[in-house]
Amino acid sequence: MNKNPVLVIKDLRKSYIPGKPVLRGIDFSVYPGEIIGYIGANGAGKSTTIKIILGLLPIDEGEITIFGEPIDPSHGDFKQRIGYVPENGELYENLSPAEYFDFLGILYGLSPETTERKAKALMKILGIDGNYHNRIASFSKGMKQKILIVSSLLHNPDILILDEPLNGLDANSVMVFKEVLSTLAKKGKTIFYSSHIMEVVEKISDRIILLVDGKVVADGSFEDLSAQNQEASLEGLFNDLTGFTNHEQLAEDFVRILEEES
Amino acid sequence: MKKRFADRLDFLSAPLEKMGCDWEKTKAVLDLQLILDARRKSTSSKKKGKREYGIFQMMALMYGITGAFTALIVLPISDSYVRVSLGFFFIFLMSGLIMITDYSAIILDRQGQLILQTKPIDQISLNIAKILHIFTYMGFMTLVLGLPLLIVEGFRDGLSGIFTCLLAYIGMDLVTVVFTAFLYAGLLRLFSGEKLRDMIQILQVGMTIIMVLSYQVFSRGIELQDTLARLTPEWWHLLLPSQWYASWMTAGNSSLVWALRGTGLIMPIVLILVYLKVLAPRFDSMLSRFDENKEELDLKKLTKTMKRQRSIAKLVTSTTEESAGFLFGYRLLKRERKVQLIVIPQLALGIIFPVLFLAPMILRGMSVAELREIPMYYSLYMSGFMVVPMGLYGMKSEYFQASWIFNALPVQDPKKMKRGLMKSFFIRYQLPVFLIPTLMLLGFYGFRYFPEIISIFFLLCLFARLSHRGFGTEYPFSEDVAAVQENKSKLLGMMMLNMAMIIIIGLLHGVIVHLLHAAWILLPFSIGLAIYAWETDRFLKKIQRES
Repeated sequence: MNKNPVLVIKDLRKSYIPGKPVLRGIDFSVYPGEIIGYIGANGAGKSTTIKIILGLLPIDEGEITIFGEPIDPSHGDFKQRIGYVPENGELYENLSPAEYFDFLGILYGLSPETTERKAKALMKILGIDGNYHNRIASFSKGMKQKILIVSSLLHNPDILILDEPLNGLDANSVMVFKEVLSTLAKKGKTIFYSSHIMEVVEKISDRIILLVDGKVVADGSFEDLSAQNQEASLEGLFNDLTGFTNHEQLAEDFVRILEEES
Repeated sequence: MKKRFADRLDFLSAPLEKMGCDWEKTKAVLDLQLILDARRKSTSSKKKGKREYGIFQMMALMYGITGAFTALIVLPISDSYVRVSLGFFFIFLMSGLIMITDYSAIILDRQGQLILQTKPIDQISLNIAKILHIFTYMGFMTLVLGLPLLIVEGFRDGLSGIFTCLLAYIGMDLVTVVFTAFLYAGLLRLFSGEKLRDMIQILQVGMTIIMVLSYQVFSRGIELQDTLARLTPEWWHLLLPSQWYASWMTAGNSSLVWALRGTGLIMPIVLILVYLKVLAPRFDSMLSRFDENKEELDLKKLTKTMKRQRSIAKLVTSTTEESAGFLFGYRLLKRERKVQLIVIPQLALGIIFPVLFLAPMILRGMSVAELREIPMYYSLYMSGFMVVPMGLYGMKSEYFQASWIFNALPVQDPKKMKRGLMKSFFIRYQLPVFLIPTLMLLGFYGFRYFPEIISIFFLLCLFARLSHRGFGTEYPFSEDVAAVQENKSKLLGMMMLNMAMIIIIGLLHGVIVHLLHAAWILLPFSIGLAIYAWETDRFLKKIQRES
């Protein structure tokens, strides 16, 4: 691609406990219009990377630039162009969507009228209009997830960072949302998609980055990667690259234990 | 295997099994609940290196101190009947307070019940586990609370005193728990959904205010000693459980006395049986009323409210980020029920305290003209004792984990937003509470002490801001409100510190006014300081990102 990268990560290192690094030198660049499937086993460092990109965590070593500028955690400016759906995204559930979006709107520089109009329209498409003034606490899991999705997109960001964004969504909403993502990508937005559900990642992403123990071990389109490793599915590829091959044996053991005499 | 606490209750197994309880399963459930309680986090667990006390021990200590005060108050009363009447009444009030503020959650718990109901265990065993769970705490806390009085009684009246105390504690606990359960059952019948939660909230806040106030009034009860000395059993005492047991200490032998004693013995047993047989089997299905959500919303009114809130924000904040923080906090605080449960009773005290100090003088028969001669306006500082530390303890949330949003937003100057968040609590809760007694005192004294009273008002506003230093490098609303509720001792410590600060300023105030006769100088000084403190970022620590 000949465009300028939107996000460049160079030799990123981070450890919470000295001597036990979580990220051990991560390198990659992200270009406009890419949907990146960011995957890895539990504890591989996915969430840490995401938090660092958002400036929620300080960097130990390395460099991150967004739109050509190094991120400056003391200035929140760059977050104007990022939309974020965290995993298990908690909300202040004692607020109504109206109140929550109003808060976001002010900080994203939207007028109260624009915020309300946009938020209501987006909620309507996701099928949760009519709840604009109810407490979020009274919502179902899927409804809360939809509120998170709307909050991450309200300000029309250029980079979307999504961590298990489909959590709790019904099948219809999943279809709508996937379509939204590919449309956004076509318009040049960058999507950073992190998930444990390999089928979804395989389908929607055009580039996959696999993290193992704080290092990038695979980076490329699914077609390239599966050709290299002779695996037909991303799941198989994931098992291969994380060195996990004994799932059948484990399952057998599991069931055998269930059937033991008490 | 390690002996579990529940094993010590084995002596109850025979009668309970007769009621259809599977004792082994009940014990397992009870034990699990107690383990879960012991592991609830407290706020102090964040700080490393310090020795940690469990919430349980801290609360026990606090109630122990309260109990000791109670015993001290009643100690000088020579008549045994009057002494235990007053003492038991204190303990009855306090145990009611403990039940409603700390252990109501167990009665109203649905999550745990939902999980347990999927397991092969019958309802009666679950209900018995639930009630034993509550009694384990109530029994322990009441014992801690009542121990000082029990010792006093032991010295004064010997064994009979000790037995009366024990009988009273057990009986009063049973009455309190069952009565509370019936009260909630009533609400569950009448309301549902959010309305039900609101009503429970009002009940809890209301009861807390009533009990704390009664305690305040009665701890000044020494003034009423003459009236109390003539206390004799009356028919209406049948309505007051503490009197059922106090009646064992009267020399009288009338049928009324025996009626009281009999009620004290029979009533708890009747109540607990009615609870287990009638109420408990229905209670869990009644809890589903929480989920019935038919909130009727008045959209016009809501839109209007949001607009009004925006104009308040415009009035009290100067930048966009500050106003965002303000609006957020202002709206959130309106609905944070658990925060309100802690804060509102304290605020009520803040309003009433200054007046309460005038009360004994009025009781002594002073005329208004005479009262005006005494500069009682210093009592306004009393408001500060209660209300100032609430800022730090009120800006918590049930949903504190949602605070990631603050860091994910494009905030230029986190200090500005933090200031807005802090102002929200001040404007919603503290300012009105300071204003009410201020206006009352101004009304009472007229223009006479105008500069003094207004100065105190502004100094209180200043203290309210200074207490926020306790937030350190964190945003408000990013800590769990439950941890505060369980860690009241820390709150008590904060209040003491705050009290010391206010007393020092109050003394300075006294020196300036009475020795230097410079009351008018104090006024611009306090106004200036208060406004400066609220409008500068100087005292705000930089927000630190999680690590």
